[in-house]
Amino acid sequence: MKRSLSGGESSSAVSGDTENEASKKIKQGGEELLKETEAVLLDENLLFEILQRIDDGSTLAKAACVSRLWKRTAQDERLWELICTKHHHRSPIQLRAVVSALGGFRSLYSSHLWPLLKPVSSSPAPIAVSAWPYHPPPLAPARSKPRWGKDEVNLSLSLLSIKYFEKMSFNNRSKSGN
Amino acid sequence: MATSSSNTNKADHSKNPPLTLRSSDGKELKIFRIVAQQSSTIMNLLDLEEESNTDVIPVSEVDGSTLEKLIELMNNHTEKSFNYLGVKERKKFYNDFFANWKILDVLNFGLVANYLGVQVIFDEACQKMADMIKSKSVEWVRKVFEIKNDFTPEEEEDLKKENKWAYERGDLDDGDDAI
Repeated sequence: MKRSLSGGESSSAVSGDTENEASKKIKQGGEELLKETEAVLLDENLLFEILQRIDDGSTLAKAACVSRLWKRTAQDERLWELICTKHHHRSPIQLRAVVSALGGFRSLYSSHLWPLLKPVSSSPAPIAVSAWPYHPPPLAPARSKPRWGKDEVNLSLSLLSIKYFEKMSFNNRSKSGN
Repeated sequence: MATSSSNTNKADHSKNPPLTLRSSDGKELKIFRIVAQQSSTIMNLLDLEEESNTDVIPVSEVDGSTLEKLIELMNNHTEKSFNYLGVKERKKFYNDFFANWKILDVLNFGLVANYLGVQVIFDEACQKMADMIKSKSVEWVRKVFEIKNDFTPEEEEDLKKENKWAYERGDLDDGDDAI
């Protein structure tokens, strides 16, 4: 399968001046075929490699909305585990077992980690994330890169397990009237 | 002029003539052996070629201009100064290399790097694509990758609801980076 540098309708500026006549002919002939094959070239494995390098959860979540292939790939638990644990690595196997039992990393991120990471609004209200009420309000715009460590992950885990147990006990109560 | 491949030390270029690679569209490009070592595929092809005693290694999966760019990058990697670059400088280097590339070109480049077994360049191409889609809208991603939206309207609604939180910050200006 011959691949050329130009994808889609327009030839990219990169390849433009180095083409010779022969390759131009090949390209024009094959461009229709190329359009089809290039879309196919982005298969699940390659897509996984790309999504693996995204470091923010909202981009990964939006990626799931692009197409069915992207949805399948972007909702892979391994990707979400990477995002949840990227600033803190500690006994990943244990963490994985607990989180999987409680609904998975994707759920952990969207319900609990994300709200912690929301950027600070411009109002002078006390900031939920910073623990100390005496923390001086940030002078610079609060659009700094969110970081989370053990504490945030642990807190999210606790909230996730509480939510899970609440669901469980509610089910039990309705069955046995305890 | 197949040179023996038994010497693995960093020989000087005068003793080891460069290899010739031939692209799918007939372009012939020179690459020094030490640079070519970054590509496991070329090394394998080299072993095959030495048996048949020809000068030129055909790389039939790759067109000339992509191959040229790839060799250029591989040359950069072998320069001593490259290894001393800090993380930020490396990042800047690759940003400059990929500046103004269309995403499908980066994709193609990554696939070629993968085919030729040059892991480092494959990684950088994937990283570049990940950086490019960061904070862009779903429509933008579909447009630049030429992906068909194969969801039903209901599915799309459900997905949007499920991932509502992800849209809160809004998207970066999609304006530039046309296909």
